[in-house]
Amino acid sequence: MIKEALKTLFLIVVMYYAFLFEMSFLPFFTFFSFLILFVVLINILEEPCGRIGLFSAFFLGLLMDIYSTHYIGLMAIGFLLLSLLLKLILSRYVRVGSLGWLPKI
Amino acid sequence: MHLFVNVHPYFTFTLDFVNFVFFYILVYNQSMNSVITKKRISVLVFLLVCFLIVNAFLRDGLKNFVYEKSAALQASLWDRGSNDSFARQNQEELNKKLIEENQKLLSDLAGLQGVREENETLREALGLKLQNDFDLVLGRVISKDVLSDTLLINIGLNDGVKKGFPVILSGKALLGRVVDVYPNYSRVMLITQKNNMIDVEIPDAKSFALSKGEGGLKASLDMFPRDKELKEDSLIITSAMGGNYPAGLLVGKVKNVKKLDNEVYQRADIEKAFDLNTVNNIFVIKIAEIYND
Repeated sequence: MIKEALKTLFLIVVMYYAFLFEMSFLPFFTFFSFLILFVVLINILEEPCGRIGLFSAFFLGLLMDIYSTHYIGLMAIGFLLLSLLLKLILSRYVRVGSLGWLPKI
Repeated sequence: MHLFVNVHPYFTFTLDFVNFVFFYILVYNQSMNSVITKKRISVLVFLLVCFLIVNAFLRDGLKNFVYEKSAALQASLWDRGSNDSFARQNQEELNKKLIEENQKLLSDLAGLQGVREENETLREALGLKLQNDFDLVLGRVISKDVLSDTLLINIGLNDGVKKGFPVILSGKALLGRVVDVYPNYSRVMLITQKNNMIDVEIPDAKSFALSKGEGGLKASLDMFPRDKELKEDSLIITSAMGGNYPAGLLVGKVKNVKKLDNEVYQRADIEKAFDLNTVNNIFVIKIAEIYND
């Protein structure tokens, strides 16, 4: 439990600084959002019942809400629901056989 | 590496989505699933209620607080990014282009000098005062939104900024307008934000049209009358007709004119007057009235 909490806290801090970097430095070079890709990868690679993917999706959505004109919570809840849907589809319908060697998050 | 993905043989997305909604959220059954649990649904509902309360009472204050905490780091990152990207550009090509533009501007200036003197003489003769320039507030850009063409700037309500105020660069190049104001920060919607329409004038053609944001820092010219000639590189300036912007702010230049047989109006791309790589300091114009916000 403590280990997971620490892992989540670490992820939140890293994502916060990565988000600031993406908003204030990267627009000069690319419009691609690496953080969205990162969150999708976490959700795909972790166990379907895992919570870190959910936390990361929620936190990224929350940051996007705060640093945009949206209402707070719009993207946060949206990303959370998408993450749940992705996990549900992965757990119920998709078996990625040869990815077993990848380290689980 | 060979990847193989086995998909459930009876998988049909639509039916399963309905299944997801009714069976897992409304008629919840824990034995069938470990992804959507009762606890998670409770947390979701709790978050929804929290966000409703936050948006009703704390939204602007909370955003302003978060911006204050990150503003210094973001401003330095923006400066760094701006300098790095400028250094990456081909300096020789840039110099050549600037010299050419400078020569053209000098010749235009020489032509305008006579007109200016004549204008001043006529004004004096008619007893007219010279029009005051705009009342401006200086600010600087901190960040750009990831998903849209909006910028965060470091001036807000406390500096006299209000929603709808136009934002320009030095040289009266239009950047956009303020769409959200917080106590110490504001958010500026760029002219390139998707579906952002601005009434514009093309002085060369003596005609009006619409500047339409396309997203991704691109804008296009639309609704230009078919019977008039639209020349490449013609200047586009704001028109006071829309009520959102003062007349005469530089929007950009006409590029890639498209005159199709089956369309009533002509279209073109707009080469915008600002380059994000060099945008640091901005000016917010304090206008007395916003007619159409």
